[in-house]
Amino acid sequence: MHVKKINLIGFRNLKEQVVELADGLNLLVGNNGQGKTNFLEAVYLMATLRSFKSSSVRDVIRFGEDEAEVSGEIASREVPVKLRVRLKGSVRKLWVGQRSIHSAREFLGRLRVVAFTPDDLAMIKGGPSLRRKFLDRAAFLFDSQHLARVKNFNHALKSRNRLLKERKRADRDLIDSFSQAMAEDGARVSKTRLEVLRRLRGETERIVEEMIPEMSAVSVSFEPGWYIGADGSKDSLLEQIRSNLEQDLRRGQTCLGPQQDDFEISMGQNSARRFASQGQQRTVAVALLLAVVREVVADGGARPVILLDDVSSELDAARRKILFEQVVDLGGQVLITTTDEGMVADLRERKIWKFIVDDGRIEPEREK
Amino acid sequence: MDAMSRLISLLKQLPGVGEKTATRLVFHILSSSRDYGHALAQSVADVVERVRPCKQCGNLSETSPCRICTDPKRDPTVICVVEKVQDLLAIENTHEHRGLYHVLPGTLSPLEGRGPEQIRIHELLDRLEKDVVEIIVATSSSVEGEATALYIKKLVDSRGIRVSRIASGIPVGGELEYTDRGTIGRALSGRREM
Ligand SMILES: Nc1ncnc2c1ncn2[C@@H]1O[C@H](COP(=O)(O)OP(=O)(O)OP(=O)(O)O)[C@@H](O)[C@H]1O
Ligand SMILES: [Mg+2]
Ligand SMILES: [Zn+2]
Repeated sequence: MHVKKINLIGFRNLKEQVVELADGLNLLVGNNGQGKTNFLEAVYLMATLRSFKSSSVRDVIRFGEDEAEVSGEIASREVPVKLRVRLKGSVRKLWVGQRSIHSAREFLGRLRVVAFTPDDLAMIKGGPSLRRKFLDRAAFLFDSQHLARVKNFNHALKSRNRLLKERKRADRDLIDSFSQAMAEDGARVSKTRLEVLRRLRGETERIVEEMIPEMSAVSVSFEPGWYIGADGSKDSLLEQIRSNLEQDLRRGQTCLGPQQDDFEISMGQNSARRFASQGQQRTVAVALLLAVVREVVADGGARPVILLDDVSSELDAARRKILFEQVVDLGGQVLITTTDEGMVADLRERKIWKFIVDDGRIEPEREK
Repeated sequence: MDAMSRLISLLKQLPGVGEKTATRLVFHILSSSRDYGHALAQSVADVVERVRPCKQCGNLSETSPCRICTDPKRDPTVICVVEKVQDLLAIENTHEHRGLYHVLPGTLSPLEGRGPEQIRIHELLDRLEKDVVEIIVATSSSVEGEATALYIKKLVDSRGIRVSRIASGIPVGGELEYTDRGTIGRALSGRREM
């Protein structure tokens, strides 16, 4: 599967333009703030209907404009399709080919994208929210409803937390209504995260041991933010949230639930977060990414489009080489952004399609 | 500000109307007959003057109680709870509901500062003093719509009144107003007891 052509209107700082991409390695080079990440975000939007950087997709609409549109031609083993997303204020319109589509559920799944950002590279060292974000994006590739559930869950959680802050004056029936709303999607959210991590576990452990031979007995484990137990049902989550009410009221927030989900990578008895070097931690993150791509392919899906945003500068030469080679060897379409072309020197012997990103314009580099 | 710019700026405040559309509308009014312009102005004034929320159900109407509340053919023992008047109209169009309505202005939303007092839930409870046997909650399937339904269920539970929720035929996060009649009709008849 690959994006052949993408048409942008009113999207962040990007000029109105059509960009044709290659089914291979596309390199986007440009200085800071020129629109490289924004371009990847446009591709990401067609795959997920979400923004890459902001929690509100409306943020992609160019400052001062009220409408943005991204459309793209997607080539796949089946018939090629044209996807179109238009955002006007808070209204979203979708088309597949000429047909207008009313629900996200029907639209999603036609373009599969694996995105990897500097935040993901920092996920082992960083806070649990980075790891949850990574896991949620991975989960979305196997279950296209996952991100919508996470969004609903977060909304219910925030609402409940707001009510808890009223403490003594709080209306307990009202709090309980939002506890129920949290459990409605929350249980499923955690279970999906658990399942996805199970899928990634074996592959990740193998890749880490291959990339860092000195790291042995690597293991990946899920640490749910509530007691999932055998069934992980809504009822069980709700019961746990309810039984914690007094504590939640004292703290003014919901202490237990999927918002605390996390995962841990360890080497033998030691946590990678605490004991691995920075470089090793980043390598583990890269291994997770590669595991995602391999699992998506193994899942019988078409090869996903891989977006690597600015990850090269954070890795040393050797690991960068492994990452790029592995990604390129998977054979699908890859979009890499960088400020420094030297970073991808290791890929010199490969076929690369290079684009210059300058002030919102994306131009294929002329043949020299 | 001259009369024309004033009308343009007023029209621009309407949803979905920008500068261009507003200007086009004003030119259209000016190029139509004078009678049309006067009738339009009078009609806007009449609507503002005469239409009021019904004291009982919150429907917009020129009489209070409204036409639906006073219709002897309707079943006063079943009340359908909706988020807004447009949803009431969408349900009316299906002819599936023969009971009365209760329009909440909106849903419970802690994040937007809307609690039970802001959405006329106590007025709903007062209405239950009469012989109501069923409440159908037709709020949207958003987090807030669901929480509102759950909250109503809790308040009503002890009174032996059946609370049902419209079936999830309405697309997730979907709005009744934009859903077709057949789907709404099926959602009503397929409602489940909460
Ligand atoms: N909604 C928007 N409308 C217009 N411009 C925007 C919008 N959102 C972001 N921008 C602008 O886009 C530019 C950033 O683009 P982007 O993040 O793609 O840069 P980049 O090329 O990835 O840079 P870096 O190398 O620093 O990561 C900034 O100048 C920012 O102000
Ligand atoms: Mg960037
Ligand atoms: Zn009425």
